[in-house]
Amino acid sequence: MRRLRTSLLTAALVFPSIAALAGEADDLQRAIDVARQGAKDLANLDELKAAREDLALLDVWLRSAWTLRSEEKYNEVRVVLDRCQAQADMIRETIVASKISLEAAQKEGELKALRDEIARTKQAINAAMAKKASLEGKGRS
Amino acid sequence: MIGDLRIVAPRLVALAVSVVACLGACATAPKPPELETLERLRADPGAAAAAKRAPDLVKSADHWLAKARQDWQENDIEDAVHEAMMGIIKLKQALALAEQDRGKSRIINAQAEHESAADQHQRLKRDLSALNEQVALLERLQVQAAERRKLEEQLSAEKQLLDVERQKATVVEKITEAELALKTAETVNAPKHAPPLFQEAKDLLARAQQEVQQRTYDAALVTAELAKKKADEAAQAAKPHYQREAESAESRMRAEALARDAAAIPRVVVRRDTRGSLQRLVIPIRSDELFRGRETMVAAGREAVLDSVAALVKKYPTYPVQVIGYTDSRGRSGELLALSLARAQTVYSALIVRGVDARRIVVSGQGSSEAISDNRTTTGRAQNNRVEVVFLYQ
Repeated sequence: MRRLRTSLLTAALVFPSIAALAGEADDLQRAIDVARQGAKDLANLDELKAAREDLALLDVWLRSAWTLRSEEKYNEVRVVLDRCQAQADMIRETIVASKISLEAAQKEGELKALRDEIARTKQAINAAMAKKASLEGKGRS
Repeated sequence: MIGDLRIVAPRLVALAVSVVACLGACATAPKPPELETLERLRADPGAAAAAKRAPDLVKSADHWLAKARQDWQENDIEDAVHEAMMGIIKLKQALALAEQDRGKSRIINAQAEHESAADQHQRLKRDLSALNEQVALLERLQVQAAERRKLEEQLSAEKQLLDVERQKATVVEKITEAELALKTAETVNAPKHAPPLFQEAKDLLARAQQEVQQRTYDAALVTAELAKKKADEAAQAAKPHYQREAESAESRMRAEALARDAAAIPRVVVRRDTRGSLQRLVIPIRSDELFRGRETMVAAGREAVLDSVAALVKKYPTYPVQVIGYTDSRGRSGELLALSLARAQTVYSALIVRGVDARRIVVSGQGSSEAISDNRTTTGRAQNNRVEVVFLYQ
């Protein structure tokens, strides 16, 4: 009877923790899946390949998280996932920065082209003024 | 003692090994590359701007850096690596945000400058367009001026040509006039009647034609006018002579015809004589051809000769005609004059009756004067008794 009581007590203590552990594994798997999908989205978003190395590193870490999850090292998984989340945030900002930089470069390129055009127009004006002066001189003579 | 040493020595060796091992275990591990990377990033000048833009992130990075250093110092390399990576991530995120701000600022500046430059460009384009229009206008004006000059030159050349042609035409006209004048002079026989003038006109005309060939139209014009003038003068000079000559010839021819026709009248012997500048064709009609004895009326049946004479007078209507009566010398002079006049008037009347214009005829009686034969003989007296119808001409 005592043994039964001890067994029941043990089961009462062990089963919830087993169930909890099983729920945590699923949660981590979902988190990893979500992070993977996020990494894919970021890769698609990175048209300029500005965060290629960081994305590669993120991929490595996600694989590592998956391995650790398989090894049921859930705490380590969480640590890696936290890092992956931070990496993903950083990558997103890097991609945005690269796009803004590209846009800025494009705008500056347009500005440079316009300035070049202004310089050419000024040259054309000078040439036209010289031609006009010449024609007026001829007309007077 | 030695025995004690034998017992203590291994223990000392073991202690020494333990101390060395302990010391080895307590030595700091090599710095993880992630930590080095984080430190390098943190020392980058860009980190200062990142700290302004995202102080929380940089603060977090600094926190991770400190922890990583500490864990590394404590040889907790795994944690140190993780913490360094977290620091790198935070710092790179802060750097990315700063980069975003810089990019946005560049965009704003570029857009602002672009707008300003676009305005300037538009102004410049307008200026250039206006200038180009002015230049095009000036060029068009110059082209038009050149075309106008060319046209004026062409017109001038054509005008000159026209002037030359007109001058040539004038000269040719003058030459033609001179030729005509020369021909006119020739028609009045100027070569004969005014040879120096005619020759001079001819020479001048030849010279004018030569000058036309040499295209010296001014000289040709003067020469042609001079030639015409000389030809006119020659014609003027020759005309009276020619007219006289022509009239004389005509008169002569007419007189010849008259003489021929008069000679054809039966029983009449026509004679011609001259009195001063006048030529006379005399048709003497014996009185016995017309009258009986001393009668003054034409005897019947003796008018045939009057018909012939009247026809002749009418045929040559330009000649003035005298009808003169003559007698022989028998009788008193007064009676003879009256008889001769009466007979002349009878003939005159007979001619008038036959249609002769009375204004052409002058009647006179000369009596016995101007006898044409001997009054001492009968034949002579018969010849002297006569009525003469005289045609006068020069």
